[in-house]
Amino acid sequence: MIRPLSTGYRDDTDARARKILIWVIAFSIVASALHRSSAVITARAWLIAPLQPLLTFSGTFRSGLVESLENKRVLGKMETADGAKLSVALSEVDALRKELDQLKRTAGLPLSTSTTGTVAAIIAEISTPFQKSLTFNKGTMDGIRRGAIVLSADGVVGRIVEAGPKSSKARTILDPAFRVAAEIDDHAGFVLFGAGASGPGTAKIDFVPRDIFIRPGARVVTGKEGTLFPAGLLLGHVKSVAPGEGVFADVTVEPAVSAASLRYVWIATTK
Amino acid sequence: MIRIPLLIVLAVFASLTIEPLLGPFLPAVPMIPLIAVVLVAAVGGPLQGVLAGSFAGLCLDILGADAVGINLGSMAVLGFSVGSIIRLLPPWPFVVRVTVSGALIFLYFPMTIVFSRLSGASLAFDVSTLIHFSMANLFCAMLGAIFIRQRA
Repeated sequence: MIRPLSTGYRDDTDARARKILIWVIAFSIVASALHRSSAVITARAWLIAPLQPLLTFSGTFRSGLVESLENKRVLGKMETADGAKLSVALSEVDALRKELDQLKRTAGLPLSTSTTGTVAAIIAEISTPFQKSLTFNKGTMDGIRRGAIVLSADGVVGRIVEAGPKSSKARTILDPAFRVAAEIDDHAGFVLFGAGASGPGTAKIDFVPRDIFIRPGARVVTGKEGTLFPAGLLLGHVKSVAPGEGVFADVTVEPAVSAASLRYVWIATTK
Repeated sequence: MIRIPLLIVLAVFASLTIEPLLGPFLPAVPMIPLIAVVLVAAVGGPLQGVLAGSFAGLCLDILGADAVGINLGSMAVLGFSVGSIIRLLPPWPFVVRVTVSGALIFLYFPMTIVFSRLSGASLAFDVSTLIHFSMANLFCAMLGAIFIRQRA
C-alpha cells in the first residue's frame, strides 16, 4: 500500500473518520427523507433551544449592523426604521379594513374577519444560493403557527415553515422552495417562485404565456387562486421579460422587500 | 481541542449576520462555515474535517428552514474529502494544496441538490451561479490558507 508522506497517515484515525462519515450520511438521508413528519418538526423546533443565546446575540449584532449601515446610507433605499414603517402600514390597513367593512355593511355583505398579528425581530438570516430563510424572536407562545404569512411595510416577506416556543423560521420569497399564486397587473393565474440558485436577489414567474404583454416595472401581487396568502399583497415588480424556450415567457421579478435591510416583520397570528 | 468547535460556531455566527448583508453588494457571497470546514480539514485531516463539517452542517440545518441533513451530509462529505485528498498531494506549498483540494467545493452544491431531492424539494439552479458560488468560496479558502501559513 502506498502511503503519502506529507502529514502523518494514521489508519485508526482514518477508519474512525470513515465510520463517522457513513453514520452522518445515513443520518442525513433518514433526516432528509423524514423531515416533513411532525416528530422531526417538533424535535427540530426544540433543538434550536441550545442555540438561543447565539441567536439572541446574533439578532442584536445583526440589528446593530443594519442600523449602522442605514445610518451611513450604504443600503441606499431605506428611509425610516422598519418598526415605524410597519406601524404606519398597520394603521393604514386598519383604516382600510374599517372602510371595507363600512362598504360591506352598506351593501349588506358579511363583514371581514379581523386578522391579528405580531411584530417580530429578525434574529438570524440564512442566505445561500439554495436557501433563503429568516429566524424571528417570537414563536408559538406568541400565537405564531406554521404557515403564517410574514409581511413588512413594503410587501410580502415569506411564510412561516417552522414555529418553536420562542422562535420561528420563515422561507422568504427568494427561497427556491417558495411558491405563491401571483398576478401581474391585470393578468392572473401565474406562480411566483424564489429563483434562489438561478439568480441572486430575484424571483421568477411561471406560466406566463409568451403572447401576453408584460412591461418591466409592472406590479406583481399575490393572486386570488392561492390559499396561503390573501390576494393583492405586493410581491415585487417585474425586472425583465425574455421570450423563454417553451410556450412561456421568462419573467424575472425584483422582490419588493429586501431581507438584508429588514429588522422587524409583521407575522399573522392565531389566538 | 475546543478551538475547532469555537471556530465553527464563530463561522456560523458570521454566516447568520454578515453574509446576508453582503448579498446586495456582491455577485456571489462566500459561505463562511464552508470555508472554515475546508481549512479545518486541510490542516487536521479527514477526521477533523468530517467532525467540523458535521457540526457546521447541523448548526446550519437547525437554524435554516430546509430539511435537517442537507448541509449536514454535504459538509461532512466535503470535510472528509478535502482532508483525505490533501494528504495524497505532493509536498507543494500549503496554499497550493488547499487550493487544489479545496476545488472539491464545486461538489458541495450538487451534493446539497442530492440531499434536497431526498427531502422532496426540487432545487432550480444554473451553472453560472454554481461556478460563482464555488469560485468565491475557493478564493476565500485560498486567502484563509495564506493567513494560516503566515500565522504558523
